[in-house]
Amino acid sequence: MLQSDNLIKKIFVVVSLFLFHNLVYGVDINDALKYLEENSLNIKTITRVVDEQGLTIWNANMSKITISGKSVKVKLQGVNILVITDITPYIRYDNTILLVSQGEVWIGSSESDEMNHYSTIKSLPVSMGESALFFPLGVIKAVDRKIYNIELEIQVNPNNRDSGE
Amino acid sequence: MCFDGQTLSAFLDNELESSKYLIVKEHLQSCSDCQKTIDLLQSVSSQVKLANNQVESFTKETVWTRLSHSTSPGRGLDFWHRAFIISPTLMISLSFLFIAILGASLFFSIFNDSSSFPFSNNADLSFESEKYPLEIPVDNVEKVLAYFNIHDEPLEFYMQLPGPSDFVIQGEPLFLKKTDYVAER
Repeated sequence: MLQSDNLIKKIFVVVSLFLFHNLVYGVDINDALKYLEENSLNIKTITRVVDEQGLTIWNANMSKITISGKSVKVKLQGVNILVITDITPYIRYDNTILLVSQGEVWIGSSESDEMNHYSTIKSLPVSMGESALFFPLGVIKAVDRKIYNIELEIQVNPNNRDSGE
Repeated sequence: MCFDGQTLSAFLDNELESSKYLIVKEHLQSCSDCQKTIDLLQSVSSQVKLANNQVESFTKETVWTRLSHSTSPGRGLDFWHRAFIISPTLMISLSFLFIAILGASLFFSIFNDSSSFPFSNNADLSFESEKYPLEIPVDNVEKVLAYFNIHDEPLEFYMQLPGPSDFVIQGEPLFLKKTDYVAER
């Protein structure tokens, strides 16, 4: 008898806590989706391979929808190179964006078997719709031979505005 | 000649005959090895006694606490061990209340789509799907949650660079606004 009382009591407490939690913290799914719609971001990147003159010899566009704090990963793979870039947008209190770009480069040399690894993390405050450029290999200085560089143009827009385009 | 452990243990427990007891006692005064054994046995014995006492006192205390609780219900017990009696009237009232809340939640979820009533999470959301350009399934809550669980990893995009191209590290990676870069060039 005492055991069954205890069981009823435990069930009663658990159900009460559940109901209380739902009443106080219950999030309506419509509200959650509305929040997502209003706060989702559209990240557009244009990846370019440019020569030493700055001329674009190859490019690719990519567009992904994300939310503040969730990164978009761009992997670029070539014959002797692998570039992994994580782009994370953070919406700031003034509705601007803090872009955090984490770059990782694995690069080999055509003349030797060695492979080098470089990593970096950079941040840049931008406005909505403003373009930023990320050069994971650095910027080409004046050179006398044919070399190529990689640049990523990143643009972040609110998803709901961008979707109407 | 030294004595074995059994004899020394019997000596310690005062179980030897008086003549042998005296012989051992006399031997111990001149033998450091046997004295060490005696010390060790004494130490073990005292520890065992201490442990026994602790177990005994704990058991007594526990039993006494239980007894005192059982003789005075509701006093000195924590919440989970207190007697909890629900009268049939109260039970019926609670049942009706629960059914009423459940019925109300169903009513609101069926007749009021935009309701924020806490129990309306299972409302059909398919009508919202056209408004949301997100590439997520919004036809029910489970799918949305599953989507976010699956997509907890970063959104990944893979591109094959043209090859064979000669890429060289030019220096420090650069991250800047496009307007600033154009102005610099």
